[in-house]
Amino acid sequence: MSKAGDRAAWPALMAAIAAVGLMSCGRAPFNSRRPEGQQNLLRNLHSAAALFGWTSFRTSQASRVSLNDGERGGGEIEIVNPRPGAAGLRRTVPVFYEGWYQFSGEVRTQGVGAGGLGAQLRIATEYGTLLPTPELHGTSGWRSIKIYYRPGRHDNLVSVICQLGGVKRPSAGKAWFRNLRTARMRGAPPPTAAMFSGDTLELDTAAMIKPPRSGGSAVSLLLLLFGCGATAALGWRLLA
Amino acid sequence: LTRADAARVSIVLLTAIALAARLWHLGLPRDPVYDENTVLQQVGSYLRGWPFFLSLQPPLAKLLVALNIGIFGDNSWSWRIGNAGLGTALIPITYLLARRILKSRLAAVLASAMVLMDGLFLVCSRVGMINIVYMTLIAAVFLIGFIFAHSTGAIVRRRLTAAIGVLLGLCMAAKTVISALTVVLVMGFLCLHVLQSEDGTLAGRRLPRRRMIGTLALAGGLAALVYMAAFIPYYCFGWWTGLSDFAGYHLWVLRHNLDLPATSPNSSPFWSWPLMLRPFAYWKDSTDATVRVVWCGGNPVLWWEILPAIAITALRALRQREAGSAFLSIAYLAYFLMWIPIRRYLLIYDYMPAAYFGLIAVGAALEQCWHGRARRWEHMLLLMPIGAALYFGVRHGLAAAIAAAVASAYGFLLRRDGQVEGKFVCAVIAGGAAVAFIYFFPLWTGMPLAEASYNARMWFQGPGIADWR
Repeated sequence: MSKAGDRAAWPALMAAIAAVGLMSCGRAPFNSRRPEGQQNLLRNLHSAAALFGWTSFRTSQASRVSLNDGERGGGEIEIVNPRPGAAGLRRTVPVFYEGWYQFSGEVRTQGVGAGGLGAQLRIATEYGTLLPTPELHGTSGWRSIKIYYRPGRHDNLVSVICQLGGVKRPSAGKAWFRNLRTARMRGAPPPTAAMFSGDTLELDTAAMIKPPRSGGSAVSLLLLLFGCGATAALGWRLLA
Repeated sequence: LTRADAARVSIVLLTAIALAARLWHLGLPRDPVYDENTVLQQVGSYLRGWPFFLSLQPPLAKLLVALNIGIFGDNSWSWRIGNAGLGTALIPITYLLARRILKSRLAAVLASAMVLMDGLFLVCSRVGMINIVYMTLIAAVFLIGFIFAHSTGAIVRRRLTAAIGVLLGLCMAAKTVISALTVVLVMGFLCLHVLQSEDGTLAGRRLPRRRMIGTLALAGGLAALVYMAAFIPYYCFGWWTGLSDFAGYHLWVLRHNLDLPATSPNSSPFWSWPLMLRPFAYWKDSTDATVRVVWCGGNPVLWWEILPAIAITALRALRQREAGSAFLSIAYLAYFLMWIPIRRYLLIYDYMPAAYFGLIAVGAALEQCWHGRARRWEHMLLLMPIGAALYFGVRHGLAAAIAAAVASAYGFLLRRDGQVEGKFVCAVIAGGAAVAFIYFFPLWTGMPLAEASYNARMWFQGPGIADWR
C-alpha cells in the first residue's frame, strides 16, 4: 500500500492539534457564568419554541401537560390527571452564589383530591433537595406563591417544577400555573416569607446522586492496580 | 498532480475545513449547553472544591474539560476547545483508518469528507460533553489495530499491542458501555490476526498459545490499568478510599441505569436512528423573529445513505469475501444492535459509533461507483436517499424537476461508453451531502435563523416519533 496519503494525514493531524493550541490564549478568569437578572419563565410561549427549556414528565399516558394562552394571554401551564398520577413540567434556572432569589407564580386547582400530592410549585436544588413549598388541594381560584432561596456555594442551577401528583402520592384533578418568574433580589426577603438557604440544607438526601460510599482500604486498590500492571508485564514478556 | 498528491492536498484541506467549522463561534452560546451543566458541575468538584458529584459516566472526558479550564480559564470557549481539537483530529484519523480498511486513497478521502459533512460529529465536537472523546478514541484504537494487522515484526506488534491497551483504557474511561463493546471487537480482531500466519491464512492446528495469551494479557492489563487510573482523582480528593468504593460505584451505575425510565421527552428507539426520526435541540433560544439552536441531529442525506451503503458493503463482504467490507458491516451492526437489550431510554447520539462506520461504508460505496465497479441497482439504491431528501426538503415542483434532471442525465450517461454514470452518481451524492451540510450548518452551530427558515429545516414535525423540533 502506498504511504503517500498517510504521510499527509499525520502532519495534518499534528497541525490540527498545534492550531488548537495556538488559538487558545487570553481568556477570561474562572467562572464567567452569571445568572439572569429577572426572567419570565413562560417567555416565548406563543412561538414554535414554546416548550424550550421545559421538560415534561408524567407517570400515566392519560395525563396531559400543555401550554395555553391563558386568561391574560401571558401563558399558563395546564396539567390534567384524569386518573391518579404524577405529571408536570420542569426547567432549570442558572443561579449564582451569594444573594437571594425570588421564585414566584400563581396556581389554580380543580378537583384535586386530598390524599395525594397536590398542585405544587416546587423548587429543587442542583443536588435534588426539594424545598418544602405549599401544596394546593381541592378547587380554588388563583393563589400567589413566593419562595425565596439563597443558593449555596455548590449551586449553579435550580430546578423549577410545576407538578400535580407525586410518584408515591398520585393525584387526579387539574392544575394551572401562570406568571412564573424568577428574580435575583438586591436585598433580603421580607422576614415573614418562606425562605431557604442552600448552605444550611441537607444536601445528601437525594438518592439519585448520593455517592455510594462503602469505604475500604487503599491497599486493596493498590493491589488491584499492581495486578493489572503485572498482567500487562507478563503479556509484554510473553510477546518478547 | 499525481493521485498521491491529490490525496495529500485533499486531506489537508478537509482537516482545515473541519478545524474552521469546529472553531467558528465556538464560544456561543455562552451558557452551558445540555449536559455541559453536569460536566461543569464535576469540573467544579475538581477545580473549586465543590461537593463530590458522581456521574454515570467515568471521568476522563470531564478531566479533559477541567484541564482546559485550568489552562485557559472558565469560559464557554475553553469548555469546548478540547473536544473541538479531538473532533478535528477525527478527520485525518478517519482517512488513515479508511485507507487501511479499504486500501484506496479515494475511498479514504470520501470517508473523511462524509464524517466532516455530518452534523452529529460537528455538534459533538462543539460542546463540552463526552461523545466525541470516546468516538475519536474508538477510531484511533481501530486505526492502531489495523496497523497491527498489517505489521509483521514481533517487536513492532508488541508495541502496537501496548498502544491498543492504553487507548482501550482511555476509551472505557470516557464512556464505559459502548467502549466495552469496543474492547470485545478489538480483542477479537487482535486474536484473529494473531492466529493468522504470515501468508494471511489461519495458522495450522496448533494454537499460538503463547502469543495469544501475551497479546490478551498485555492489551487487557494495560486497558484495566489505564481505566482505573482515570479514577485516581477521586482518591486524591478523598472522595473514595478503597477498592470497595470503585466496585460500589459500578454497581450503583448498573442499578441506576436499570432504574431509569424507558422514555424521556427527547428519547428515541434504536431502530429509528438510521432514519433520523428524532433529533432534538441541545439548546434553543428564540425571540419574536429569530431562532438560534444547537441541534443534535445528523446530515439527513448522509444518514439515509448509510443503510444502502451498509447493505451493499455487507453483500460485497459475502460475495467477494472482502475483509474490509466484512469489518465495516460487523462494526456497524455490532454498534447498532448492541442497544436491543438496553431497556432505559436512549438518545439519538448513541448511534454515533455505528454511524461512523456507516459513513466509512458510504465512502466505500461511492468509491466503487466512481471506479465503475458498482452495478446499476447499487446506483439506484444509493440515489434513493437523494430522492427522499428532495421530497422532504424542497418544494415539490422543484424537487420533481431536479429528480427528472438527475434521471435524464443518468439515462443519457448510461448510453455512453466509459462508465461515467458511476462518477455521476458519486458526484450527485457527494454534492447533495455538501448542499445539505451547508443548509443545516446554522442548526448545528447556533446561527440565528428566521423562524420560517428554522421551520423549513424541520422536515418532520410530528405527531409521533418523527419530530425534529
